[in-house]
Amino acid sequence: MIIDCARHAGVEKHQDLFEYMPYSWRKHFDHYEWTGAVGLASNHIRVSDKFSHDPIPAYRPVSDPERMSLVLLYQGLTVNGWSDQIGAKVYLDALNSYGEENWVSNSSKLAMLVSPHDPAWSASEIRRRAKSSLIGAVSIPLVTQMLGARYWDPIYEACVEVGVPIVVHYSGVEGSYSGTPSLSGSVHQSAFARLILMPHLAESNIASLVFEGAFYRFPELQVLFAGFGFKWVPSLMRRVDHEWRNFRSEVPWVKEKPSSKVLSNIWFSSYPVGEAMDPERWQGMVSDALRDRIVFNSHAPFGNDTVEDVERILGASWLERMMRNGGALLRTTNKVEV
Amino acid sequence: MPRSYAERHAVLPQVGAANAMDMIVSGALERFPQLRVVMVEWGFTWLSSLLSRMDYLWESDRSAAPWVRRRPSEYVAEHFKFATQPLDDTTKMSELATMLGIKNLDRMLLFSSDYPHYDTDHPQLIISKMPDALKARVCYQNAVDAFGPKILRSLGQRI
Repeated sequence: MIIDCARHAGVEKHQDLFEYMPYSWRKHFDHYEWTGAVGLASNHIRVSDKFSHDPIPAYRPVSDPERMSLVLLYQGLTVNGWSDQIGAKVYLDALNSYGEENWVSNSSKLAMLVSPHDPAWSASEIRRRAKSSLIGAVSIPLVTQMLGARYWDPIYEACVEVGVPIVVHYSGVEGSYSGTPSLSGSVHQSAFARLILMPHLAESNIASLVFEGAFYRFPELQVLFAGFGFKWVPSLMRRVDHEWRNFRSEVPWVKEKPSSKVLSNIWFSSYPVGEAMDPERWQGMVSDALRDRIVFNSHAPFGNDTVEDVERILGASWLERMMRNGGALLRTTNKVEV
Repeated sequence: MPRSYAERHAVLPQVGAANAMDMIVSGALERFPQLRVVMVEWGFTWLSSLLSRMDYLWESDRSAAPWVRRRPSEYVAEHFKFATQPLDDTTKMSELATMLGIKNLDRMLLFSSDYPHYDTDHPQLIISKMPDALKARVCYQNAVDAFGPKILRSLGQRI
């Protein structure tokens, strides 16, 4: 069975979301800056309509008993760069509703989006939507509040209550707009530089989660960092344990080595597997326990790693284990039978 | 923004990694091909993932980085040195061997203790962890490559 723990889906045109919005909000969004946005290449700053592109291929879920996919609504992740936080909630609500109707099947579940600007509203949405079997996870756009902060507790409480994991994925505008988390060093000029540094977002938020004691407050909470790769994890685990030994008195609520919480509450994914070439050079750093926390994700339709790519680069035993791990992760939701 | 010093210090190497990466991607090392950079107290084990990520993304889309003329990891090997401190704790010899098996690390790694800071690495600890093939390179040969033979003047003819 193929278990893809993070693939993407998006609307082909924003007008498709209108029927999922109240009429007054439809009027609010019905202007060219918005309706033209999907087809205009951007980085969200459209200097000219010449920079346009075709929308990505629409996702059409199939019913295949040998396949299960967790579907991320990548367009909604970009609300972390929005200044209109109220409009953002309307947009996320519409995307979630559209996704429930169009992207869920016997072989796919939705990673519903929540607002990073309103945890209370988000918690109520999780409780409302996750009653159905359509939701497989909760997706949080990253903002300047680190994920270990108590700010997020209402969302975590709701996730634990309904039995769904968190999925964290970058939107791509991090390091570009105020409101999003900055990237390390300073402002990086190119999209290429920012893409290289995206795993630092995962590292920083994992450090926050373990040092702020989030998994002591919510021992059942499970968090998947999807699309960040996994080669950096051994170095981070050694580093957080090292700092804990040096500064244990500073964080007295952290009772065990921080890496133990990484191995019990955090998951990682394979994409982009191309950066994990020559496993004989690095896999000696990946403990058996850590290998049990790495799942397959295709990232389709962007880059689109296949199971064949994973097998070619890492070998059959890695692939088999990733599928087993994916089943274990999705079973934690009590929503997905695998 | 990290709240505790432990959390902040855990991710501090990101600043070193980000600046090393940016010097390559921005073309600084193409503009100044003789420039040499020594990165101190940032650790080095994160190179394992950073080098392969830079190379993979560059090979996937070279047009995204027009100032980068060759694999980013080649710039790192040619222009950068990294100090040992803080040396990660490892639980197995195989883990240590893999950690020190980063491509071209034998030419990039410099001994550093960070004495007298609280997290100083004892020289004997570092040296004892270095495989024989790396000891001379880490203890002085790479330093001579980085700074020139003038750094050995106090040692006279002993080396």
